Amino acid sequence: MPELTDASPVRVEGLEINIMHDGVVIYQHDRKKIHYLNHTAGLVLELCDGRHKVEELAAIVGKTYGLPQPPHDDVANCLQDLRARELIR
Amino acid sequence: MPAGFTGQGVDPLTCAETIRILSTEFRITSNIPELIERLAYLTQRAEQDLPVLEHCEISVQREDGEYRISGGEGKKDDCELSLPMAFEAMFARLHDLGMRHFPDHIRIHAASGFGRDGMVLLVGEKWSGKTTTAVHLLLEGFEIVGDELVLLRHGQAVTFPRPFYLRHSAIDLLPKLGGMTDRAPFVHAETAGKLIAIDPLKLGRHWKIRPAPVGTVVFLEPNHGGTSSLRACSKVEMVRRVLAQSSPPSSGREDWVADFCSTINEADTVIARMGDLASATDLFRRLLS
Repeated sequence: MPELTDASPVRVEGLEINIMHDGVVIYQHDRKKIHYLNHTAGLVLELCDGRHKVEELAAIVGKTYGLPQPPHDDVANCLQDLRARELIR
Repeated sequence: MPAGFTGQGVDPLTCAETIRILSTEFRITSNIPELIERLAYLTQRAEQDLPVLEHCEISVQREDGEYRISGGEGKKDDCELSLPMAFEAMFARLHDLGMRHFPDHIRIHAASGFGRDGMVLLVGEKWSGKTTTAVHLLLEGFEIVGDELVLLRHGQAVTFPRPFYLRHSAIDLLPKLGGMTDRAPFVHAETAGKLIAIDPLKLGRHWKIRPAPVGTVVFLEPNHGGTSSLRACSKVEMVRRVLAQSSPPSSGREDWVADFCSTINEADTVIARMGDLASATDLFRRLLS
């Protein structure tokens, strides 16, 4: 399902986010599960605080990486992946 | 008369031996001289720079055709029907009791030693050549202190002390061992075959177990028949690989993954494709010296 641009995704509780030099390691305490993300997916996850709408996330990611256009499709795919992993709702 | 036989102050049919494992000092008594003789398989005399926190009495007695293993606070007696099984049960008991003072430590299945920046971990999957590499580097003058288990907490690692158990089939790869393997204790393991217990002290090497920060993590990949090479490994990838060879702390402390990640993040992380050992020596010398 495509991400609704006016939705504000929220990280699930109980995530331990470990920032590495070249990516992010997430430990989901309740499921005792570990996830490996690149920095961009880690940034998107961090921004999923319920206060940013999807299109705002794309704008922030685009600005952070100096992109000419907000990467709407990439962020939507990333959110889908994070949701599939049950890291956001 | 077997080593460890004590003739004074104890039952004349009782043998005794003392073994130190990390912060626990064990005194093992038995009325089975063969058992004390076989302790040479697991006994190590490594210097251990850790405080002794506990003295523990372990007894293994042959009674009415069975073997009773007792001792260690909170441990029930074990009864076994054969000497090899009694030996294994005693070994497991020593291991458990020795680990009791390290409940918060992550256990990493790794060979270990010291390099210029602290401790070096040699991690790999089963049959990746950890012990062969460890013994080779030991013979080449590197300070290697273990081939099996490392305990990690808050970035500080300490090696679990035990002899290196080398597969008999690997001896031909290590000609510098010379004839010492003919005299070394050995056992037959179900899956690995004959295992030779290698004692670094008997090779004339310094063997000192001590806590130190982790400076380098090397993941070994077999490249049988080829040459050896090194390549950098990303931190996230190394976390993924090494976690697969690790167990969480027995205490279940919640921050162990963060501790683990932080340790890997601060260390040099390298993948070693292990081909011939001669070419590996120069690579490790550049990496660790």
